[in-house]
Amino acid sequence: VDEKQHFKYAFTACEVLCCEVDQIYSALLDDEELVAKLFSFLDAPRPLNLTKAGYFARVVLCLLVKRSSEVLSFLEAHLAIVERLVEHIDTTSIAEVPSSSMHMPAGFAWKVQEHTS
Amino acid sequence: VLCYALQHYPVFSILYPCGCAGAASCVTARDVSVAERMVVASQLIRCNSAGSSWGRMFWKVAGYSQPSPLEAILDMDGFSLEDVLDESDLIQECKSLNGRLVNFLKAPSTVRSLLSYLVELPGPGLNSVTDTLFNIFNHSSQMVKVMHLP
Repeated sequence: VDEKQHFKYAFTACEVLCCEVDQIYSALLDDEELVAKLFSFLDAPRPLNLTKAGYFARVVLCLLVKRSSEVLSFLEAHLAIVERLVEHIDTTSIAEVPSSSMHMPAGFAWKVQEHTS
Repeated sequence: VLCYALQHYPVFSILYPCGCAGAASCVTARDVSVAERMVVASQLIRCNSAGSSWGRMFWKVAGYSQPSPLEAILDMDGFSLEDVLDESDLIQECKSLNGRLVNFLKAPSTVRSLLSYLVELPGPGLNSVTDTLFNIFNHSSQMVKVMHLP
């Protein structure tokens, strides 16, 4: 698959995952390995690809809105991911993830704070 | 009322599975123009396809809804995720919860491939000078923006 095609598929994959289809979200969230794969995007060396970062953030934000408790408890169990989110905070789309999860009822702010200090 | 509507206004037979009493009162008024009826129909379809079971039932009424080209792909033997992703109808079908499509998409292997498209980069990309420069400029501008965040 060439680069242009790859980005087209990435865009469509993002759209599909943002469709808020419950069954797809369940399949994704039930398998911890898949959630880890999603967040493995943050393992890429800086600077992140901005287009991909936008897609990634959109999917994570959709998940956070639809299934906040599951995503937040995953992040709570994997604090290294939170650390990496903070590492990439200079990428605007990634910054939206922690900033919007602070508005979540479960309360996430202290974790981000802990890692920034 | 239903019999009258079904006899006189064929369009009502489309609306019937939507089971909306409001439609009956609108459609039976004799002087309602065709255009107005179509507006009622389109509004009903829109509000019903917003996730209720009635909406889904409407789309399954044979003969009235155009079969999506996606169905042909799902009928094929050994179609790949790429075939599905190439179809422009995909998002629409996904949002209207096409059962066969969702069944395909929710398979762990499919979700994994979706995620790899989302997360992985297509190999060593363009590492030209302009690209690096763009990254540096973009990086510094983002830093400035972040520092001014409340």
